[in-house]
Amino acid sequence: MSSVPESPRGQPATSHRAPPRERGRVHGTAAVPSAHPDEVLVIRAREGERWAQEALFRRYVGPITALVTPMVGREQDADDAVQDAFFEALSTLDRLRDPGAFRGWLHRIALNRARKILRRRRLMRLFGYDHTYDFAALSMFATPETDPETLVELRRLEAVLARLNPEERMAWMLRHVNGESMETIAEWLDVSVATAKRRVCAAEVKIGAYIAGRSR
Amino acid sequence: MSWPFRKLPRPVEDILDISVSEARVQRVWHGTRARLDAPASRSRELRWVAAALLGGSVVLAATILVIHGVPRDERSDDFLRLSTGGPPVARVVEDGEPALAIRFEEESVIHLSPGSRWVPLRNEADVFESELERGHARFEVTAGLSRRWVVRVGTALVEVVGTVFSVWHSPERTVVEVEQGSVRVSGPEIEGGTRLLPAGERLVVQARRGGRAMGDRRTPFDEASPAGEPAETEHAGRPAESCAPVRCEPPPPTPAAQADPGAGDDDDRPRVRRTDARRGRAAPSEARGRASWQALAGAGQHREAYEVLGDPGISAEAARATPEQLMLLADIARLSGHPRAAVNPLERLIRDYPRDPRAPLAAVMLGRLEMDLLHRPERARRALERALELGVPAALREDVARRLMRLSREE
Repeated sequence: MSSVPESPRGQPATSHRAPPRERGRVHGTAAVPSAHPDEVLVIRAREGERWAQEALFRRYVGPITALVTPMVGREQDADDAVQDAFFEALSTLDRLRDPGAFRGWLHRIALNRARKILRRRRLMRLFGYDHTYDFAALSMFATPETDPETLVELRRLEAVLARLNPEERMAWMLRHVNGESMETIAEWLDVSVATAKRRVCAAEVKIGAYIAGRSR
Repeated sequence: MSWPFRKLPRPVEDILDISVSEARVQRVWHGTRARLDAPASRSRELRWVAAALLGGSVVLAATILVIHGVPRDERSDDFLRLSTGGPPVARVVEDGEPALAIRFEEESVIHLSPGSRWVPLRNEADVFESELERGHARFEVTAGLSRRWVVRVGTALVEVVGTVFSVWHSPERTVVEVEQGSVRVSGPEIEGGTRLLPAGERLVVQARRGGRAMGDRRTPFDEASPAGEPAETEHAGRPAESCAPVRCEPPPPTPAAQADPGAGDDDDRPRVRRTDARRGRAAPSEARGRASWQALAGAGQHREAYEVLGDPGISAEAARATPEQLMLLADIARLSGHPRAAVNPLERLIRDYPRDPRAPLAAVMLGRLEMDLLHRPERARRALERALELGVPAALREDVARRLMRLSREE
């Protein structure tokens, strides 16, 4: 049985192959998914093989985009974050000590970009320069079968998420929107598990208070 | 911590379908690959440039903050400012002095003629109240803004949101004339207490005998009445019933035009005409033509209005139309079965009046036209995205979102 490879920070990484759930399905694609594991693709990409870079991109662009889009709330910003993340990851593959930890590393970079976007937007709002709204918010992605009551709750959730600071918002979303484990959240947000738990908890308290207030 | 939602599943992702289109993936990949292919030295160079720019912007932002203070605090006290930045103050233009244009930050302008005195009374986020104590002033109030303008003239009160109008005031009478939009005039000497004055009409309010006199000097208005009539002989001393609206055709030679510094001194023609031409306003016959298409469109006769204008007429009118007229022109083209002709007025409205409340609607309308009737998806996408930027009303958001998704899928 092979041992679980470690991430660059020495924390246990989650699965290195395909994501646990089919998040971010790419529709209308004719590309065949690569059969190679991440390790092989990373090594090949380091050697300058363009196909390996593209295979890594293809493997993770869907999940990463699907993760980041509702988090930043706007497709354009999400695309910027995803592009930045892939550019940084693929151009600095040499820094990745464990090629098998590519998935966690990429998620960490992408979420870091998303956090920067959210912080910048928060600052712009603070100074009154951002009057746009989140076009790619959660309710926009609700399946057609979603009943109206659930949709209302989803919109309430969006409203309260917009009030949270970026760190709490991201931690809570990873936990309760994406259903990730605390360890994974800690790894992706590049913080300790305790910090991740604290952020999720703080967000839960605020969301609970807001929802209770609204329902009263 | 208990889950505060009754219906929402955990994880929420279970009811979401966040799929990504191939076109979007391709876009991101092309961008990434282009950056990966860029020479490393260039990246380093760009990094230095970016750092220098960032440093520069920080210094600039700090300077702006030092000079103007924190913008948010400033905005919280949102009074109307002059284009130069300060608050407006009372202005007097003596006889013989050139006319004065008081320009505001929101692009409204007050043209003050010689022999006039104008005083701001109340300057707040939602209302700007001023008084013309004597003489003549022409107000060009930018449409589409939330601030209400109130002008006191003698005993009359003129209220507007966005329009162009002139007021004259002398101890004997007050005249209000509307060029664009409409104003509400109220006062004790107006029949019924208030009157809505549409474009092209003038209201003359005679002062009561022994009534309050706002100024004790003669003004240019006293010599030449706005209607070109002998004011004192025909109207002086008449009570309130003389304040019926009067059609103002042809436009009167205003003291403002006479005092216009740009008018030149070698021409004997009434200068108001030259001023109007310079501002792109229509000659009387043109104004009649314009009134006719507007009247037809207002009556729902869009085909007839289109026959009056035709495609070139719509383009020509759009070049000088107000936001309201631009929407009307678009309706004429659209509802008479000429969607292509509606593009120009809609684009002009979006481009020239982005702060007008009709701009997002115009963008949505343009997007729908481009998508459904003209079958130009790229232009439709741009229009709908612009609509989102401008702030689409809640009722239309879902439609816009659906259309954008459809366009994105079709890409």
